[in-house]
Amino acid sequence: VLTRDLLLFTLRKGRIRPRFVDRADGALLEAARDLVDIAARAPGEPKKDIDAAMGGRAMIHPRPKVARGLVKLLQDRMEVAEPGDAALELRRAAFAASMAALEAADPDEAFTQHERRLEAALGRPLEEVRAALHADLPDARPVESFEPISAEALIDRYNLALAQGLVLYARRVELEVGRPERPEVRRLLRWMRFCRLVAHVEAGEDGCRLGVEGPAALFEGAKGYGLQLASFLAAVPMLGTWRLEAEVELPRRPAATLELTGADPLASTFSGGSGYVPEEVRAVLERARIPGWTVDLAPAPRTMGATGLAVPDFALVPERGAPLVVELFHRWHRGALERRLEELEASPDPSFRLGVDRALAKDPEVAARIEAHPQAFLFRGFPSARALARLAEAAAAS
Amino acid sequence: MDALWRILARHAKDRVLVFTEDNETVYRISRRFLLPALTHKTRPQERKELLDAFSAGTLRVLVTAKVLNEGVDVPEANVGVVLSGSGSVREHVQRLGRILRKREGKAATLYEVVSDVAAEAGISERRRQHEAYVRAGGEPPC
Repeated sequence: VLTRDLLLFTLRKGRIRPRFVDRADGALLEAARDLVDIAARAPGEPKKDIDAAMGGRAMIHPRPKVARGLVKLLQDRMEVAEPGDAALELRRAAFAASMAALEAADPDEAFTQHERRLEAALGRPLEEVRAALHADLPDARPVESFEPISAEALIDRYNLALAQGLVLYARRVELEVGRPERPEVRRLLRWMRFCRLVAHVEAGEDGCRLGVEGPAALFEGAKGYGLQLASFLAAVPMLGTWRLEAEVELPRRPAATLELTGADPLASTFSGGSGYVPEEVRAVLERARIPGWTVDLAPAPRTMGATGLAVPDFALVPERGAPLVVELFHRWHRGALERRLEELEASPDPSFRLGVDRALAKDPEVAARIEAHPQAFLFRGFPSARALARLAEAAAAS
Repeated sequence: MDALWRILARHAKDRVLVFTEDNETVYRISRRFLLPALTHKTRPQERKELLDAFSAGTLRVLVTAKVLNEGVDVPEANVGVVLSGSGSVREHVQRLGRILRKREGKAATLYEVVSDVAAEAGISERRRQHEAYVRAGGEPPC
């Protein structure tokens, strides 16, 4: 994502608008191509050399801030090699030698004399030691890999990042999507669950309306949550027709309304097809082979209350009988959990199960309500294979 | 660099904190003198190792930029060296605090190494008007 200093927007009369760039802009495309070329050559090279080369190219673009944004997005696609212990070991030896040499120093002696003592103690040329002393700093480490991207896709990614960057400062995001029966909407709702967003889904005549809490509304973990929200936003443009409205509160700026629609130059970077399952979930499901049961990762949303919709995370489907629908609540979901408990009290649904992350159950009030609830269970991160098996066994027994 | 060497050699048995304006200078000094560097890039385990060693006296010099300005207590330090600092009085009072803290009656010395450029010398002079510097005592800044 783009850092705040790289966000370009217009803020006027209470409305905020990203300053989108035109992917047909020749000069920008040329800069993007040059930058992508530099990034593509990065693996094996020290990160700082690549940063310097990209920074130099960005500076000569007529809009250097746009070009620096492209650089940041390319840097995000690079993995830097893990630091080994060689530099750390060298530092330990060098600092010990340096302390000993310093203690032996005469206040009036020249520095070169001290250097000679150091070199003798370390048994290797001082310049060699100096060059390797901090070779494990991130900038000095080599780039290990770069996730390729075309110049055009980079510009699309930039426009999306401008929008994502503003949404990171939102208190609340309202999103109008189509009818939940549409496959794209189902995929988006499912992705929303994987992103663990705090959302309230309502069904209307024209389709679903999602009310998503923004990072600015959270007391803790706002940064991680903001990144999850940015991931979610990357999937929204796949809908084609949609409308988003958010109240954005940038530091030292008046609050403003951001409005985005399917007509904006935003392309989805969501790579997850209809069968996409995050790695952590896939690992659990591979272990959770429950005889007589299958796992449905895209169960249909369920109506809750008058207009509310619950978007289950998954359903355990027996060979015969009604599926067991599971909704998970993570550390940010206290309000949503309380709402769901009230809804279940008002209109019981015996096939519904509530999974509550232990991070959320640290709250004594939440813990007390969960312990007493026959349809709730605890998990950490994602329910384990054993927890899923226990759910199925209990349902079969009852 | 020459002035820093003279200070280090003069205080070879003291606990010295060297403050610089930026990380780049921290690493430049660390490489030149082979001195321990502490910045926000220092990994937590190494950071603890360095602070413990400084506390125990096995390492007697630490070079740092702003990472030690707030929230880290280094009561063993008794000499501070500020290299071309900025004009922020608050930062410098905190730096003074780092080397004066906890030990009642402890004698401490703060050096400020300034270049010949008139503006830098003026900033240094302005800072020294702050009451914390007057209270700090110790040897006069060189």
